[in-house]
Amino acid sequence: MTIAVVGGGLAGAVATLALAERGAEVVQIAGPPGASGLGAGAFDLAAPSPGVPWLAAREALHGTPLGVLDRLALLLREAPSHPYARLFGSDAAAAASAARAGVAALSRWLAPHGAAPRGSFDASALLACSPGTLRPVDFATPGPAGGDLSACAEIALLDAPGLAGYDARFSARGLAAELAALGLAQKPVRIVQAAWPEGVLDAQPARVAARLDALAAGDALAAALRGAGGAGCVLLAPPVLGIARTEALVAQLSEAAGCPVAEVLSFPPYALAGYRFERALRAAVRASRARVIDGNVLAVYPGIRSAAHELAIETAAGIQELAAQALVLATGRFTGGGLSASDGEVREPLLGLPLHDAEGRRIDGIPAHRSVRKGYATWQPLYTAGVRVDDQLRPLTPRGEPAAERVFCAGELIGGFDPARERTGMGVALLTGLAAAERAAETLS
Amino acid sequence: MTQLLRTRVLVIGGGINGTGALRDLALRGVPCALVEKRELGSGTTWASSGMIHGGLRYLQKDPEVTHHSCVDSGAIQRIAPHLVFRIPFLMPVFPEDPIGPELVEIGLEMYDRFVPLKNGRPHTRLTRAQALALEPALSPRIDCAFTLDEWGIDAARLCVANALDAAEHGARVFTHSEAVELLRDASGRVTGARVRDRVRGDETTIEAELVLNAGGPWGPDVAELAGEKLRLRPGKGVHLVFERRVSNLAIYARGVDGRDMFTFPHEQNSMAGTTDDDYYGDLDKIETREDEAAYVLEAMERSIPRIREHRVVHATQGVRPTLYGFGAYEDELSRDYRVIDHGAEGEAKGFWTITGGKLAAYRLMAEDVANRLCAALGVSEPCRTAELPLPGGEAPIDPVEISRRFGVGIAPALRLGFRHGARAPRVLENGDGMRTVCACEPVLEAELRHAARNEGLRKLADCPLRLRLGNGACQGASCAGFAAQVLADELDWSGARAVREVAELASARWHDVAPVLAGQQVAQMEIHRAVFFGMIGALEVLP
Repeated sequence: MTIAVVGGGLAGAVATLALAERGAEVVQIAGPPGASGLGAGAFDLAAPSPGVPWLAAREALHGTPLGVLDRLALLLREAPSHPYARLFGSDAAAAASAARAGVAALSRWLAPHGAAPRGSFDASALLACSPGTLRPVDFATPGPAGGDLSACAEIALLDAPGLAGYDARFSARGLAAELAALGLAQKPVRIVQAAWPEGVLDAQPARVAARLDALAAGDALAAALRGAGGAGCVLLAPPVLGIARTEALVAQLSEAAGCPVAEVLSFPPYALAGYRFERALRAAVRASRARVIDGNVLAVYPGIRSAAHELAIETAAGIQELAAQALVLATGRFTGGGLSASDGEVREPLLGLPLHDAEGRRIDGIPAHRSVRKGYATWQPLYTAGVRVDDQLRPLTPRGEPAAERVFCAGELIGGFDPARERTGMGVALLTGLAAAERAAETLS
Repeated sequence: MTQLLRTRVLVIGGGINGTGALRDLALRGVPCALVEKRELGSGTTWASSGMIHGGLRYLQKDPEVTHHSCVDSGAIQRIAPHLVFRIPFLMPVFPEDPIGPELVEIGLEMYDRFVPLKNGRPHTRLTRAQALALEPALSPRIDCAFTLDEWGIDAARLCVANALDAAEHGARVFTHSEAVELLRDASGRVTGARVRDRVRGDETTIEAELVLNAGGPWGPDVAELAGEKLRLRPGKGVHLVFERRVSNLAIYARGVDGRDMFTFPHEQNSMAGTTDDDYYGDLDKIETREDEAAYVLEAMERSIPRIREHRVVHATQGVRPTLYGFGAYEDELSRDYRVIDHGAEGEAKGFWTITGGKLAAYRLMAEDVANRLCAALGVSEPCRTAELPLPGGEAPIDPVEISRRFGVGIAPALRLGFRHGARAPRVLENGDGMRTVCACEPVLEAELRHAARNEGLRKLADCPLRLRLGNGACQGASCAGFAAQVLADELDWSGARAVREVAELASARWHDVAPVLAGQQVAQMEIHRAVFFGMIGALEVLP
């Protein structure tokens, strides 16, 4: 009995790992990187105050922060189309225990690869983005995780002359303004001009990060930062603290500086947080008993009469076929390729599943531009759209019946929420990935 | 506090007509100033095809326009050789075309007589096989094809070059500054304008002996400030902008209604268009519509069958200030221009208008209006705009030498040579900006700093126009944060201001992308949203 997981992002990886841990015969078809590889390093389960992070920042600083679990409960009540509501109905306690179990499992899988997310269920951390804006997050990858500014007494920024996309002075200016806007101007912000090790700095962030993976370069940077922090200080660094050993390097630098050292949150091409995260996920899957096929699923022939779904997979070695009794689809949205708009109309390319926006309107079979609205920050139907699922995470037809047997959806492929605005993309990937694995395994047992 | 400025001529409108006239006046030593309510060239000029073509299309009905355009295209190549690039055109003839190859060739032979004026090569006739070998994207259904020669230009850069030269000759240029009221003396004569700076929010009073309305499609609004009526037949034009190259050469296509359009390579993109439809909507909220995009693609598909496989990144849209005409179809309206002395033709003494015309003939139009304004002012200096080079056009430039001397890649060196000509070294001489801000073009930090420091760039959202930054596939997702850092440093922005600028850029790009969102660009904009929402944090600052 084989279960095939299609997708190499967070949802696909956790589904694969969970199935492998249960002893199932699982094959992951990893495909090219998708949205998980493009993140800034924040890892939210439920964005602080859904959709209104500014308000949340204010909340977080003025002493009435909502914990993650409270926010999950709020989301279940306020957003009935959200995948969380599919999974948990209005049962906040079930959501809370699934969230705790999910984070624990992910940490267990990623810890050996130096990528366990850090954070808290009680209060969000206030992390700095490279333009000097503040972003409250629940959990974060090891690079930026230590940069919580909500309680620190002083902020220091490490200067990195010539590095593209990072300017300590600019970030400092932004942070000072943002703190002032939040009524907290009293924190001093200073620039640390340390001597970077010879030959490490470059305009290209990826090059700097790769050079810092060398132990000698890390030691030299630690020596240069010795005593640069101090009590109550947080030292913010550009998002280039290594690729393969970020967690260790951050710990080493923090110890040398005498205060937490953390990367500012930043996006590709100036940051590597998402790349590192996906790299660690792949390493974790390879270390498990799951089989991995590097390739693209070209077609799925759903097993309607027979017991197995037949998959045609394009790999470097040619077309490969795979029969699986159950299928977990974690193919993402447009970035991951789970949804496509390349033939003029929006569609789900593997099974032709119907797609709905958060208000329940069909958007497949319609040109993409008809599902968007004027105004960048307005609610965009196209970017809330995906597959509609039942509480078993089975894809549904427009009439509300399962569209395929033994097919389970996970991650952003599931519609009904806007990952960019609501910042629940990571949480949805984690919790639906685990749930899809459980349901697939139960179906076959 | 209101500031006061006295000058002789105030030009309202910073498109190619306004900046062209300003330069002409400044070179004659006339004290002058220009106010533009948005960014230089951000209206009709930016939405144009970016071509100084001769107007083969006008040969039949408006041979004067063809002649003007060709003569002046030649002049622009002389004064700004760095800014123009040759665009060879391919004109396919299909079996079902009402005009067969022989008649087409007779037309092209006539056009060949004008072509030397703009340094073009005469047409050639290609067999079907030759044409397909030259341009594999072309439909195999063609009978034969013709080549002809035209020239492309970065129209927004041309505006900036004119404004810079004017400024170097004493003119004052105010962008994001709107004339909110015209000043009148007791006799009713227009004596200047009250101008509001839309970025800072303060006001300046500019007193002038003459006011020139170069408002383009906004011309009637400006005329109304003087109590004058100006009647245009505004025509909306839409282009689709494709990622990189659709074809090697520009290719003619015919709309379902028989109109000529084309796809052409332009800098790092390819463009296709244009439409031409009467427009009566809000000039400050021009949007590309679904049917317009479909009409263009439909036309292109006949010449380039696989056009729909190419990625449309965004659309451009603008309105031509076409001269008024009753009863004619849009395409048949004259592309000629007019200079109006409202004191003679209407009531408002001291108030003039220039309107209509073609980008290719802008210098000639500027010369004409400046001649008349100078006559009114009693200035007898002759026009020198056809002889004196525009900034950067002083000497040829060697991109290889630039690349070697400053240690920049050949691609950014070529780009700087194209945009800044002989002045490219000045952009790099500060030495603190070799980082690549935008990889699509590629734009160096030095050019961004130079634009802010020396060329009057004021807003991040103007960068796609000014520098083509954020104009490629990613629509600013990779470069907006970095560019904001650089501009904040140059222009002393607060953190909050920088965030607002980033948000405005994101919104402006969405405006141009959303109506034509399709294919791979859908995924690109998904990433765009994740980056901007993630980076900005505060949704409330996003328009």
